[in-house]
Amino acid sequence: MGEIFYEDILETFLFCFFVSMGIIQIAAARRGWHGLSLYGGRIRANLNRALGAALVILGYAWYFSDPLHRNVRNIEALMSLVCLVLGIAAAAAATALLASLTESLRRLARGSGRGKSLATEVMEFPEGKAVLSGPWGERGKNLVVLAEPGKGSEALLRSLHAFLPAPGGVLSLHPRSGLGEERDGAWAGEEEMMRMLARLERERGLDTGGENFLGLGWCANAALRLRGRLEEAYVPRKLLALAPVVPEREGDFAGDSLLSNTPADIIFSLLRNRPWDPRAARRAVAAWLPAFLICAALATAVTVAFGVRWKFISGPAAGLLLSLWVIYFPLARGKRGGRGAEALLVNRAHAGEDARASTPALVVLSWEEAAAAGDEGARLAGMPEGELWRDKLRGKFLLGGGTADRIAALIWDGIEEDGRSESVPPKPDGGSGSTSAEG
Amino acid sequence: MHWLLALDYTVFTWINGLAGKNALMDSAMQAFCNDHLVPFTLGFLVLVMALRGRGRRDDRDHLAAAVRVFVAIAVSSALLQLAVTLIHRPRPFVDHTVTLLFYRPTDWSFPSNPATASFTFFFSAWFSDRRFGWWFLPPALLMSFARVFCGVHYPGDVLAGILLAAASAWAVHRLDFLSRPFVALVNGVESLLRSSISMRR
Repeated sequence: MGEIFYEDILETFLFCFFVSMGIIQIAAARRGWHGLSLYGGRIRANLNRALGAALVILGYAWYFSDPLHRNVRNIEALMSLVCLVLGIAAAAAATALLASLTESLRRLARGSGRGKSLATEVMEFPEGKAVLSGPWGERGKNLVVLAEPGKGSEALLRSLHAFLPAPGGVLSLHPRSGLGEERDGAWAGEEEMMRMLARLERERGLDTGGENFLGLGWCANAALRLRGRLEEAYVPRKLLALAPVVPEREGDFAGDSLLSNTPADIIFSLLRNRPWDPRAARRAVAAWLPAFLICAALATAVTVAFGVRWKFISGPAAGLLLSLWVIYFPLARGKRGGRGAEALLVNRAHAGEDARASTPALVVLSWEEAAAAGDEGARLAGMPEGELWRDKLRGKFLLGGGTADRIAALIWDGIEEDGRSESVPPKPDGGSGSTSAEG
Repeated sequence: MHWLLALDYTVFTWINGLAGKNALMDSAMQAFCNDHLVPFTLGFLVLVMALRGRGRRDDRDHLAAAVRVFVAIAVSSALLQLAVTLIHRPRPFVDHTVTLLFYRPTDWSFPSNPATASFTFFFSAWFSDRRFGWWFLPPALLMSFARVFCGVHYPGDVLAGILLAAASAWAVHRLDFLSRPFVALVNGVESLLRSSISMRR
């Protein structure tokens, strides 16, 4: 005892860090985790694989080229384990940071394309935000988009407004409430979107009756649930549910955020949507804190008594683990084995009774959902008939590959060349077909 | 008991007698014997195991398996410390003339710490994942053999370490409550992060 190999601890930590980073990169390339790829994402998977392999090989070569790490006494087993765990954790954190940074640089370089020059009118309401582009044309030629809350979704909609070859105007609704926020057991955002539609008609004279409705992502599920109410109030010409979240038989939902979201996207999305029960979270923290203080004090007393190395770090660290173990049992008592965020949100993936309304509806599943649950998941959610777009990622839905044209074709099929729609439904209140608003 | 120790020493002399005869073999055994190569490789294999799934359902099982490996390591280390406190067996080079290819460890010989740790990795991974778990066996075997070859452990120390490792891994695998809080925590974080699917540009 007494000998402390500080330099060696640092080198061992760096060795664990680089090799773990290499392994994570190889896994990211193999699993198609675009969000964790340091360079090139899914497109250049082989490059990420090579980068990962190089990090592993160079890490081993560098560390074991030092005779200190081959056959002499140096750091003890416990410190080796600590270096390993910290190295893996640091590699995961650095991968998250670098992958988010490189992806945001790529997005910056890509720019917002035609979206920059597009004139849109942004209307702020207590329920959220409405964005309008293009002249509001004849009934049946315009589009109302129900969009997820959050900055990422707003950026996506800016692209949609710019890229979608719409014969009329495009109105997007962005609810204020995050997906974790409830009102009467339902997502508060659904009611906010309905209120915004009513407000737009009342205050701005924007008539959305008989128009095409498009739900995106979580709001595709919301649109299916609102189908009956929309039918009653607006008689939509068509409803397209694009990339809804589909549940799995186990009670979770299909899809993997890492496939197309960077860790920064995920963190911002979590902060925006807050998919947790705040009261339960507060209760858990209130119960854990005193347990942690007691466990940390006890564990530190033990490390001091036995002269364990770095006693004032190892003691509280052991106390942290012990407190998590101890507090789990009283907190988990009487609870079903739900899976946190998914247990809370999975109900929102179900289409509900309204999905059976008579408005023509089409569901389009992206690659993530198609690969995981596909038709079965859609059936479980009670969704109407759909199609699978195996070549499209949820997070990269509207970029390149003619996707915007594909969406436009699904929405506006049946609209004749001279602009008349073949199946424009009557307005619910019997009023005139189209109104116009400033673009 | 005496005959058992004599048998242990006899087997030790057979294995340690191979040392110092072939430079290449000696170098290889020194590499496997050292405190870093095999333990860290096993640690990285746990990371590979955690990430090797094909979908989220696989990942949940593999993450739980990885958590159980670390809990088993903690349990086996605690049992090892208890054994070392109770049984004081000197290293082979203290009582006998041996061909020593390693530095002189100062702690007690029984049970073998590296054999306990490396076989805990193996048994724990194997109990959770019968296919991938076999990847942990060759490094664990090589390290355990190398410790005897290099003259720092008796075969009995290694055997006791293997038994201790098997018992710890089995206990953690069977007594779910030992690892359940950490598995629930890891699965909760996984669920929170990976279910955060949203539309973005």
